Amino acid sequence: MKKRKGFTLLEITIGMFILGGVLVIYLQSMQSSRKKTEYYSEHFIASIMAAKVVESCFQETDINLYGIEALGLVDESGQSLNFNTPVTDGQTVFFKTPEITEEQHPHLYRMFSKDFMLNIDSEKASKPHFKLNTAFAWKASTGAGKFNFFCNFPGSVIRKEPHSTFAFPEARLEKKLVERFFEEKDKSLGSIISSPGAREVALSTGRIYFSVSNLLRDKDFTESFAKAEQLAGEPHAPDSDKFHQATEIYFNISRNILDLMLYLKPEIERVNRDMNMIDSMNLRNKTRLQVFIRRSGFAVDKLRQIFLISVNEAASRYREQMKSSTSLRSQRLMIEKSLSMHRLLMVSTDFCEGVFESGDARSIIRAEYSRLLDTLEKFFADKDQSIMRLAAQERKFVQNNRLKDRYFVCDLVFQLFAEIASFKENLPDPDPGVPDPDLSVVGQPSGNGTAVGAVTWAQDQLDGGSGRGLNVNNGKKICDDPKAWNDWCLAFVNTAYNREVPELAHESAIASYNAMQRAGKIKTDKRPPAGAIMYTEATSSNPYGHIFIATGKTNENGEPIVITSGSAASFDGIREMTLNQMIDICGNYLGYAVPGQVLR
Amino acid sequence: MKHCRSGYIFPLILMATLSIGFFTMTLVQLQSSHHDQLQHLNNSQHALNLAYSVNVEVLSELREKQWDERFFKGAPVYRMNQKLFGGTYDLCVEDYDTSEYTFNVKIRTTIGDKKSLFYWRQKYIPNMLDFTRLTFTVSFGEYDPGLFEPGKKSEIDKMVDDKLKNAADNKQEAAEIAKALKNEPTLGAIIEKLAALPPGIDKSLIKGESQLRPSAPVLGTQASNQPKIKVSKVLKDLDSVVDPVDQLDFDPSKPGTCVCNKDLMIRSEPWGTIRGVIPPGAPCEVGGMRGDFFEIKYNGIVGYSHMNWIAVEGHTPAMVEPPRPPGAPPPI
Repeated sequence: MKKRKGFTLLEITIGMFILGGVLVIYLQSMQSSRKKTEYYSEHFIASIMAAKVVESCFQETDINLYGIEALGLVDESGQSLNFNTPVTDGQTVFFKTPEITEEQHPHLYRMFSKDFMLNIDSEKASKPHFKLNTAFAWKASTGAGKFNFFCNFPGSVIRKEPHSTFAFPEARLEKKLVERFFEEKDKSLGSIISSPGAREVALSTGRIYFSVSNLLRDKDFTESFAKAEQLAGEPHAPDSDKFHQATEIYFNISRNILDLMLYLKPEIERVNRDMNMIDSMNLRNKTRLQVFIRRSGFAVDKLRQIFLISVNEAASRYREQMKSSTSLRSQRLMIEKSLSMHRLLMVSTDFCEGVFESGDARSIIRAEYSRLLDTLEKFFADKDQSIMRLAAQERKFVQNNRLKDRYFVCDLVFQLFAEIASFKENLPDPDPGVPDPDLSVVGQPSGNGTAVGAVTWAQDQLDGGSGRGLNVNNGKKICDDPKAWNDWCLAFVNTAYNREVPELAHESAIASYNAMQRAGKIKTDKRPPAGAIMYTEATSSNPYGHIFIATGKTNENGEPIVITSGSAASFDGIREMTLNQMIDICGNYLGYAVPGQVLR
Repeated sequence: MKHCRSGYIFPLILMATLSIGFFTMTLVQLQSSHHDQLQHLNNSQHALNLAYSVNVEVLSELREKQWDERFFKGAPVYRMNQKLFGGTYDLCVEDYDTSEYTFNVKIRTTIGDKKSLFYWRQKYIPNMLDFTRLTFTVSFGEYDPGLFEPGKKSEIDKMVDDKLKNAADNKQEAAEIAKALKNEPTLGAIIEKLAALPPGIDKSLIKGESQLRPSAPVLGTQASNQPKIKVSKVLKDLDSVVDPVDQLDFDPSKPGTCVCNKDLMIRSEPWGTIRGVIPPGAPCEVGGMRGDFFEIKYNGIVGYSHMNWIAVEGHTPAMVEPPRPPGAPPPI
């Protein structure tokens, strides 16, 4: 009976074995589960950390073409740098804001200081991007832990080919050139210009001239200039739509002009380089082509000026907009645009003639850019480190004069402006030709108020002419008295123009010059067209200055030939002579007024 | 009774074993779920990284040639079952026909047995002024992987179009809301303005609702104070360099008027022999140009008259005797 009251040894032993076995399984599971949970936690954190690194790379490369370099993952040549670093105490750029410090994040700090290492391998792919392997390695209690994230990021090579909406259609170019430049019809360009080199120069000139014509024909575009200035002149807040609209217009002007100029760059280079090839052309065609080369040269220089003024305006307005914007997203966008504008200005400092009203362009541009970079570096140090790094990197590029190497458009713009400057220096000075004489003034007491009438009438007073021009001041004619016009130079020119030019109604030649000057009509080059009213300075021996008329002709050296009255101190009558001979007699040349402008 | 007492221990042990077993299984299940969750999270991130990387490769390929020679010009490009970074992907790149310079990139990734579809609508920036950016993303999103199939093209495109349209429709309102909230001094005031509190809940229940918002830091960038030359003035200079007549198009012919104060010569060619004359103020047809001469038709006579004496819409004649260019035939 006693035996039946308890359990047999066998029963207890089996029971204990089963229970023990289950307990062992349970404890092992618990232990394994704890380790795995710890491992998974660490793994999870590592993946979050890696995602943060990847996200930083997204942010960095989104605003900075050289973002991977700015992060220190590759060197200047794009070669991989060994990047293996702990993540605590701000030891890596990826965990600086906020830093993982013992004081601020003790739990994280304990975890990450336990051999938690960030390792990034960068590899420059065959295509222009980088392949990054972001790895976190740590010592887990279950063994070494490692987590990898692979991702591609954009590289720095961007090259585009310029396309301009203003480009003159190639299919129409030759016909247009034949008709407009060379006054022909239904002929091929080859039949007009036999030299292939000269033909190419003509085609390039046509591309420049007619593309600029296309630009001017686009009224929406040209009217936007006045619209931008009108909006900019109104007191709009920098965060208002109208302020943004004006900025956008300046940006669009810069964009369209840049596209056009870069499209024309090879043409400018060709004309500038091969201009002497047109020397073999016949005189008439050569002169016609020279006229359009000259116009094209001035036109591209004006495009340069418009571009730089608009870029400077846009840069300035983006800075103002940035200030009033509180959205980091829009600030990033404006920073990107603004920096591009400044980069272009920086490489153009030597070509900023006609951009600022006063001051040294180089100093202004450098100071404004430096101030911008300073501000960005300081402001974003604790807000968006990718912008801070971008500003610091940019400063380095500027200091080392590397903008042109780093941004291909900066290099193109520098080359383009250097080419335009050289082109402007080398522009031909074509003979403008001479108008047919106006025979209706021959034998008359005065001209008829036109430029050609003035020249014909003045030439009629030369030896061999009728000499019937009347000096109303003394009632004399040269046919009666060779000294009729002596010391009456202003009266001579005034009579040639039939006393119809208000600026000639003065007491002396120099007073007439001053009137022309005040009216903004004086030009100073030495290629006056026929009938141009010309001046030399007042001297101690001749305080009244001197005035005479351009014939439109030149001598074999290209010097303009003028027609002038004499004086008691020089010669009697009326003579033709070169401008240099005139200067020898009367003193320094002051300039001329174009007849078309002086006529009412 | 005897049976009861002798069988007592086994059910007890069985119960204990089962309890521990179930507990262990639950633990393993939890652990597995934790693992799955982590795996899922990692796979999602991995899928996004993979798709982003493929998109970067697409853009790299786009950079290699100019837009006019883009690799997907004319027909969509499909690349199926490609391998990258331990996963596989299907790619489709195609022009978005509705808008110039716009293209869609669809990337369907497969990580393990999970498929994801990422869709980028991107715009190529052809101009040279944006020289740090080749494209910008118009829209990005994750969609049902089944929409990758070519037959579903219009469906997914429409979803993206609708999304963009919604964003555009709401832009004004969102800007107004943001503007209205900009000057609210406290969190409580913002919540009140948005009417975001459920009925019967007082804003004082929200922690820190009355705390003043810190003022937004102001970036110290400034506009230039340098006196600048007006761009319209330089445009005017440019306009004076290019003859206005070159901004005209003579196809079809335009009506013209002789503005010469005496009979204007109609020549056989520029500076050529005289075929006839047009009296002052007479109308004529202007059909084209040769050099500085308009090709005109007057009273049955076809020839050339100098542009300085013919008025055409868009061209104001200079009304001065033109210079005869060097090399031109001498006056008759």
